[in-house]
Amino acid sequence: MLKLINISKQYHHEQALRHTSLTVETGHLTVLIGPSGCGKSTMLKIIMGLEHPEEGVIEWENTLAGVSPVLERRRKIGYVIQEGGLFPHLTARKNVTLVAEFLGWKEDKIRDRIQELCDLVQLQPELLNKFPVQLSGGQRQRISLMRALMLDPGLLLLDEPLGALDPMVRADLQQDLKAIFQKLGKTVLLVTHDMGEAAYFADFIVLMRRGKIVQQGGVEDLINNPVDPFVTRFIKAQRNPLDKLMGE
Amino acid sequence: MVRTIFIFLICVILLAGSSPATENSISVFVGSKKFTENIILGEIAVLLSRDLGYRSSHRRELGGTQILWNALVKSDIDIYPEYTGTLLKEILQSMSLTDDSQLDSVLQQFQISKTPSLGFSNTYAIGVTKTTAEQFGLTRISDLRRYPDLILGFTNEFMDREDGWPGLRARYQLPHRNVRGLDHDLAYRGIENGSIQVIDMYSTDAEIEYYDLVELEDDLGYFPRYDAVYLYRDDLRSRAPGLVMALSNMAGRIPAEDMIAMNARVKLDREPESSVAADFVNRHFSLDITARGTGFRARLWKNTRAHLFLVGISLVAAILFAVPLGIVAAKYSRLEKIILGVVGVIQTIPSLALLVFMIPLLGIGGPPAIVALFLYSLLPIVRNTYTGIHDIPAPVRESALALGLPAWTRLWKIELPLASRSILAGIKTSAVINVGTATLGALIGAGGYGQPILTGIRLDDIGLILQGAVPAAALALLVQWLFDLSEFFFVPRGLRLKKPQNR
Repeated sequence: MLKLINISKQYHHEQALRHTSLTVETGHLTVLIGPSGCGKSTMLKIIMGLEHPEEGVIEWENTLAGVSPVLERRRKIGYVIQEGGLFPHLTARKNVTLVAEFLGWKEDKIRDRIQELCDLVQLQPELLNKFPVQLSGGQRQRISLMRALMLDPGLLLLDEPLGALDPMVRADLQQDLKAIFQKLGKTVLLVTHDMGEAAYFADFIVLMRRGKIVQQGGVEDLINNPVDPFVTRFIKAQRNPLDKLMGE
Repeated sequence: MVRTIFIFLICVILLAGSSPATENSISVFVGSKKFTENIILGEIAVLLSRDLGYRSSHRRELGGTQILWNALVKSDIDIYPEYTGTLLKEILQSMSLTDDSQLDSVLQQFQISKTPSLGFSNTYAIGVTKTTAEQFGLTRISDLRRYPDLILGFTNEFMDREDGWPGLRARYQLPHRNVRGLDHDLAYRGIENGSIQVIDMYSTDAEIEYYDLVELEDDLGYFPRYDAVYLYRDDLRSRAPGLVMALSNMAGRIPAEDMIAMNARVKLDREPESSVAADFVNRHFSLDITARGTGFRARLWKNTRAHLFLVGISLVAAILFAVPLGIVAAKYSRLEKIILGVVGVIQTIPSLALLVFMIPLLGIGGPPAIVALFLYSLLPIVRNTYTGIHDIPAPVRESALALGLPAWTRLWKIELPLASRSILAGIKTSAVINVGTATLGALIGAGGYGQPILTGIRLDDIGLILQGAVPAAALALLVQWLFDLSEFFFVPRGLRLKKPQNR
């Protein structure tokens, strides 16, 4: 179980998080959603130890996150960001194996793991010899996911992983991702601003606004029992092209 | 990368350090200023000491009085020709001496002695062309006061000296505003083509007659006497007593006409200083010396070696120092401003000034030139290293952190490779600038391609200037090309690939 308790974070003069608490159940997929600047990405960065909150504590695997060294914590968490953040000077393979090599994994162990991951994310192994610029956006995100999963982390954080992809690629990848998450059964925390995507993936949705959690629960809860007019407005904000046929 | 740098370093040292082994005998170093007469006098001292069996070398054409004096005090050189007026008004001006008789005792404090006058005074004089003199009716310096629009062109040193322009202007109440500082040898060409009308001259300059110039009378007695003497270090008396004797023997040997004639042979007839000096000692001391000339190739090779030595050592040192400094600037925002600021300020120090600052610490020759070049090489490398690391896109930087790699590994595996192109560009900039700046090293006796340039300017010899300028330019191009090539080795392939065209 991952617990964020009473977290506050300020950037210059902007309050990104205001006394926010969140519990993420082990083995479940939780979606963090909200408009730009609501603090959802900041939550992920704080969990990764990339940002440091002024207030509050993080509890993970029943220990305070501050207790275990930050590098170790990061290696136990997989992190995927919007454009993948692949290192442009390294081949796809090297991107994936960098940390394992640093940790001194044996060559055949690395090879086996790569094979496993290629199968999992459905990537042709030849593509691993290419450099990031030579790959498509979708391929890059699959490799980025492989990199995040290389050390078999217990927790996976994804910050708008599909945000930069065009709709068709995105739909395919959504499908694959969902299958991957189900297969892995890991604790996943996924950030998006797309309500459709959230509904597609989520067991549990956390809606944020201005550094605070507005409502959390299943999709049905948010639609049927909104705690605030904002919830309804946010859900309805996305247009469905079929509306046109239905007549408004 | 480290290995390559080492190999480069070793090559440079081997190239530059392969000078002949020193013999076990007494060495005497003679210095001279960068004008013909002084070089001839320096050459005479060299020939005399060689004749007496000392190993003697001539550090010729050093950049100015202060450089020579400091080198003598620091015992980087043992002897150099000087003028009493310069001692009085420039070197020892803070002592406010009034006449030459006090000089010997004051020089004692520096453990330096001077010979009696060599027989002529090379005083400063103010000159105009005969045409200008007739046109304005000029005969005395006072006459200049009536023509405030005349353009004055003075030696850079004269512009600042106690016995130079500031004092002259005050004494004669000269109103001129249009006063330029320029190189002494260029002044003669300037006055000939009319771009300047009044110049400072040395009274023994051969050009006075050649260009048909008129010396204006110093009617208020402003300029002191400038008797030519040799200054030498006191310890020479015990190390090379014969030489001290020989130098003292030079007293009164050179009347002004002889000096002017010798200057003319070098400057107008293009004879080498060494052969003019050899003729002189042969005649006066009944010796039989033939001047040793060096061939074009030997000279080029020697200059190339000296130049590569200066550039190579200073650049390698700058890389080893500046890259880490740039990394620190990029990593610690608190130090960023300080580091970039200090390195930037160093760049603004005029090169000659920096060279002169170095002399009291490091003497003359290679070391101060290398330190100066090193300092000038810092800015491009520091700045490009800083920019290269600082501009790594945030998502990439964040990914590196998120993978749980320690700082050192992130630096080596990710940040430096990503910044490699920028760092390399900075090093390339430094190297190319360095090749050019190193030509100034000749001013403080470091040799290199600056040596023929300096001599060429003095003798108005375009061919000689080109002997320095062309190889320097070629070396700059070569360096540029080598660095362009090295991108292939130092910049990772993934960064050299072009993005595929969007359909």
